[in-house]
Amino acid sequence: MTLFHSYLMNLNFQIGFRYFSVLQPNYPDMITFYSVMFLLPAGIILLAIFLSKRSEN
Amino acid sequence: MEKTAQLSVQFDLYTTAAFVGYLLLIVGVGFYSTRFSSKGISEFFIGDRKMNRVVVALSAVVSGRSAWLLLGVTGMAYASGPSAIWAVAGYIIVELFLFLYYARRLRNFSGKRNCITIPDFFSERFSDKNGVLRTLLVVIFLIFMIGYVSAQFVAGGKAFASGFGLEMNTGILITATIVLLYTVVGGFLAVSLTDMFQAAFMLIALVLLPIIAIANIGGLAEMMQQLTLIDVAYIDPFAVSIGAAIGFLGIGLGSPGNPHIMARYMSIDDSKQLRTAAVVGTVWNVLMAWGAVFIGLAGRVYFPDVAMLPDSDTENLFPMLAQLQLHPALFGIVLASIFAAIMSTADSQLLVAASSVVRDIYDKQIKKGEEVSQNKLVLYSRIVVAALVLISLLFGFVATDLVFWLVLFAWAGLGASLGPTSILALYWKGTTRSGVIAGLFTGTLVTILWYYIPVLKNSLYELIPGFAAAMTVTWLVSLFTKPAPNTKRAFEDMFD
Repeated sequence: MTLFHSYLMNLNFQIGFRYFSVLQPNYPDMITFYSVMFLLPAGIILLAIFLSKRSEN
Repeated sequence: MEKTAQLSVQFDLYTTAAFVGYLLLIVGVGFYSTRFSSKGISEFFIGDRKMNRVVVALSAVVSGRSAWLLLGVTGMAYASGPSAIWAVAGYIIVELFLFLYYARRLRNFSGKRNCITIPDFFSERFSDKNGVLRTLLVVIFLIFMIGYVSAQFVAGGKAFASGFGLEMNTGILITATIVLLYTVVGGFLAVSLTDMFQAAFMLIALVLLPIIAIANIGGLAEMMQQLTLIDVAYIDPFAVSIGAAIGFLGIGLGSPGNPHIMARYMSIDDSKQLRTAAVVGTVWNVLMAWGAVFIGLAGRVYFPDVAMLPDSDTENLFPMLAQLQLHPALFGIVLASIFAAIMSTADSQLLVAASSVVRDIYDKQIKKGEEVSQNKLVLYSRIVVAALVLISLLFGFVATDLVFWLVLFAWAGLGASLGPTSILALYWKGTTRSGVIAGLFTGTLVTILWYYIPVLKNSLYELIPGFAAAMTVTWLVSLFTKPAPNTKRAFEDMFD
């Protein structure tokens, strides 16, 4: 295992953690969880509807 | 240390009746489709391009989802929490764009040029007169498709073994026999219609089960509170390493390169209907994927220790939770949904492999320039489907421990070779036949090599470098070679 590889694997790339921990010390928070588990799927479905209305070749 | 109680799957009459009812329905649909599928190979392999938008939407998404979604993703969410969502988000977005843009061009072109198979498409697009490109594609398809189909049979055997207490080899044989029955007689129509029923079974299982399981915990807030007490990572969608996150999202790159998914796009009756198909397919994909993740999260509350699951295997969570939460008849439907996922993938891949042999090798190479009757071609197609089932069975018996590895490997191999080349063929006029051949070799080789070098394999899912390398090589080689003379006309045929 290379040093870089080891670094990547151990980095634990918690984007949300780093971002929200500044705003809310009690991270992991409910906002992130609900956003990913409910708003993200809703957003994907809305994107599908939006693009299907305007898709051209 | 206190010994953890281990549960096992139990059956009763309701469960067995629901499961057997499902199998009879699937085989019945196969026989119902016989008359239509027997007219010719266009009917047998792509439903004569008369498929309804809802059937195409559901068939395309369900044939792309194997038991990996039901057993693998639920297990992944159980093991690592909501970060498993990134394993499904990638392919959902990619398939949305495929439906809306890629599929439309492919359907228009294949309809105007009478392409029945994916090698047909490449051959027409690049004026492949000597058949080198067509033959190369067939070889790639057969290698990966047979591996893929046998992996599905093994998954079916495993499910029978853990579910009904049968010998694994008996389970493999039963799975293969059912798939063989309805695919041989019903062809593409049977496969697509059964896919639709299978999509419904999977939807019931993956939507109903998490709702009931979470309600019985005391609601979502209660579930999250309990998960937090176990480990905060179980409510953290970003608790994932960068390599894993990229690898998860990269799974979606496999969708444009899997011929059994591409064949669905070619079968729709009107390319404009792909817009509706995109919405239907995406809604189904989203409900299934998020349902699988919620099952994993709820499962962690019911089974806090993995040792409580049979064989301490996280992939046993789905049937175990279903048995705990649902009426036996509904549990039968859940079991059926596992087989639905397995069979809907295997049947589609079988047809693609058979079409490569009959259409691309026999009809277009061996009998080139000769008129072969459609009845004869359909008969040969059925014989080849049966032969491929036998070959896949033999292969499956010696690769029983590698089932999910095979699925991912086949997905990656096809995605890396066929994905970038087909995208460039549809979107870049400068793409050449030599470029595509180089890209096909590169994608396949990089995927295999990457997989066998542990340092590389552990850092990134092999599909991503394979895809990138094939795209780059196709582009570079195309820059230095001459495009087919009919390229302008070919692009005109891609539009409505």
